[in-house]
Amino acid sequence: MALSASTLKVGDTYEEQVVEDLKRTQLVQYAGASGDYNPVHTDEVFVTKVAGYPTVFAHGMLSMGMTGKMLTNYVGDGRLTQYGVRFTRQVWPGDSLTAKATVKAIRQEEGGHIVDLDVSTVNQDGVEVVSGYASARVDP
Amino acid sequence: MMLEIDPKAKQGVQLGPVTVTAEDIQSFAEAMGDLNPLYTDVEAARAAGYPDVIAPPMFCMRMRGGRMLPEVPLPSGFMSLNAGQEIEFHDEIIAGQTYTITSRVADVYEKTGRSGPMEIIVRESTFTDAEGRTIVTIRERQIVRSPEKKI
Repeated sequence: MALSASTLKVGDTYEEQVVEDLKRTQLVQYAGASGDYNPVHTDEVFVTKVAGYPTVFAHGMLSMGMTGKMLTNYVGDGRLTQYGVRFTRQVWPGDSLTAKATVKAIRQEEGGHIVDLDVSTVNQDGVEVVSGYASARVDP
Repeated sequence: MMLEIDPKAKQGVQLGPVTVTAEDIQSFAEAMGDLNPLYTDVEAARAAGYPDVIAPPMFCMRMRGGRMLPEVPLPSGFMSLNAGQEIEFHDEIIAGQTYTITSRVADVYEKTGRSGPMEIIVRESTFTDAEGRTIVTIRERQIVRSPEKKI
């Protein structure tokens, strides 16, 4: 179901848990599926002994992609027109993430209706790991 | 440190044309835990009016490859991380279609973050379909810094 500009209100929110207890296996799976083999995401020896982190951490793009799943579930398929993020904190194995969209504005553009959203994803401690924005086409 | 950018990197490099496969889309959707039938089931995609399965929005990042292009050589021992991106979607990426990606270094600047100075490389990638229509544009920032400082 597509969203409708006539029923959306500024301040409306939608959220969903996009991953529970993130597994190292998923980091490896994402590395393979995306072709991003930066060792900080999969190589425990490199990341602890060379890079000096406590352990491997998720690709920012995985956090962005999982957050994008919340967005497409909310606005519908083929509706997203813009999506931008900053990665504000690392995402670690074992983390559970909840992604949230908040309606910032509803506007008209080139005869169509657009909703502008603030996007925020937090971990199980409530710490923001992804901060961003998105826009999507909505029905009148 | 100031990174040296090859003039060719500023002009841009071309990737493709590449033809997207349903298998690539499915493995990417599975890796993200997003099993939307439009990404995995051709019948569901056809019922929604598409010729084949469509890709999740972030599939464009897989298409541009694991390494950000154009490559900028980093001084020995330096580390880099993706700091974030902005994407504009003009149309869907669809299995069986062919796309060309043109990427260029748009900017390089220094910044002081939470844990000290860093350099930021900004790249822009434009995806066009076989008819030359712009489908997706990506603007992304890569943080570069020396290994004694954490990102």
